[in-house]
Amino acid sequence: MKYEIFAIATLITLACFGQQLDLSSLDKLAAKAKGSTVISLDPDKLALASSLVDDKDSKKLMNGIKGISVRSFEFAEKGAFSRGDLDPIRKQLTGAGWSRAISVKENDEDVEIYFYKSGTSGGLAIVSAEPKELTVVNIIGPADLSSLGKLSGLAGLDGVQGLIGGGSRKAPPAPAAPKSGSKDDEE
Amino acid sequence: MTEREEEDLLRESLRRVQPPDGFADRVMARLPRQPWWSRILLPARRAAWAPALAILLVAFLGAGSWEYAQWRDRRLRAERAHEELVQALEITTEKVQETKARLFRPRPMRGIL
Repeated sequence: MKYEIFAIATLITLACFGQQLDLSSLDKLAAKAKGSTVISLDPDKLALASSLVDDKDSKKLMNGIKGISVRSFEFAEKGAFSRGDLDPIRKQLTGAGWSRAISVKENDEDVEIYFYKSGTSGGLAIVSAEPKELTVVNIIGPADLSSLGKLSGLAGLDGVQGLIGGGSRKAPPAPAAPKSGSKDDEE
Repeated sequence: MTEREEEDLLRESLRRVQPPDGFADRVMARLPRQPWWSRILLPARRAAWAPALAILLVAFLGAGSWEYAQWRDRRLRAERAHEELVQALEITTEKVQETKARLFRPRPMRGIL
């Protein structure tokens, strides 16, 4: 009986936090980086931040966000990190609910955008690896991904809307020329 | 003047004389008026409840200071969290914009002619 309760509790926990990535494997890179940004906003911190937001819609939107994690490292030289450093992150992104929406590979630059959707919860993950820069973003939010697109409006920014919805802006039209290069897939 | 006459004069000069009617009121009326707070505080200094009032005042000020410190601490944490939120959204937006630019970048036409 004890084990059953433990198993059920574990399943509930996984269901709740499945979209939350563990980015701690990247923290070791901070020692090699010339500049690093480590941000972990849990629901408590987000509630505090939302207390400074006056707009009701923005406040409501922020209440739907369960967490934001960012790891961004800038290195002085190339080769300070390997693709293997991202394996623990990519492994988590193969889990249930995650799907890769965009993957762009150009020269040594590699950007992937993932979305998470499971029941009433949603999420977004960005993995960007450049020769001298590595950035991983994980936003845990509502199932409605379009509301994630409105997030940037909170910071007075403009840009996420066009790509993942949520705003009136449209993405620029694709050129008529046939695509070449090493793009994997795009949606 | 004889010694006797001197004594009589002295006794006459030091004789007790009753003041005229209303003398005390007139003297009090000519005194400067006390400020309002002295009428409250001076009797309070002698009152038994003055120490209790002082303790209550100190406790009230202490509680107020503590409450203010809590509010200030919460405000600072909120500002820090808001800054982190803005920074996180800036990084997210920057990466999305870069991806968008790469996706929709015009590419050289090959194999057409």
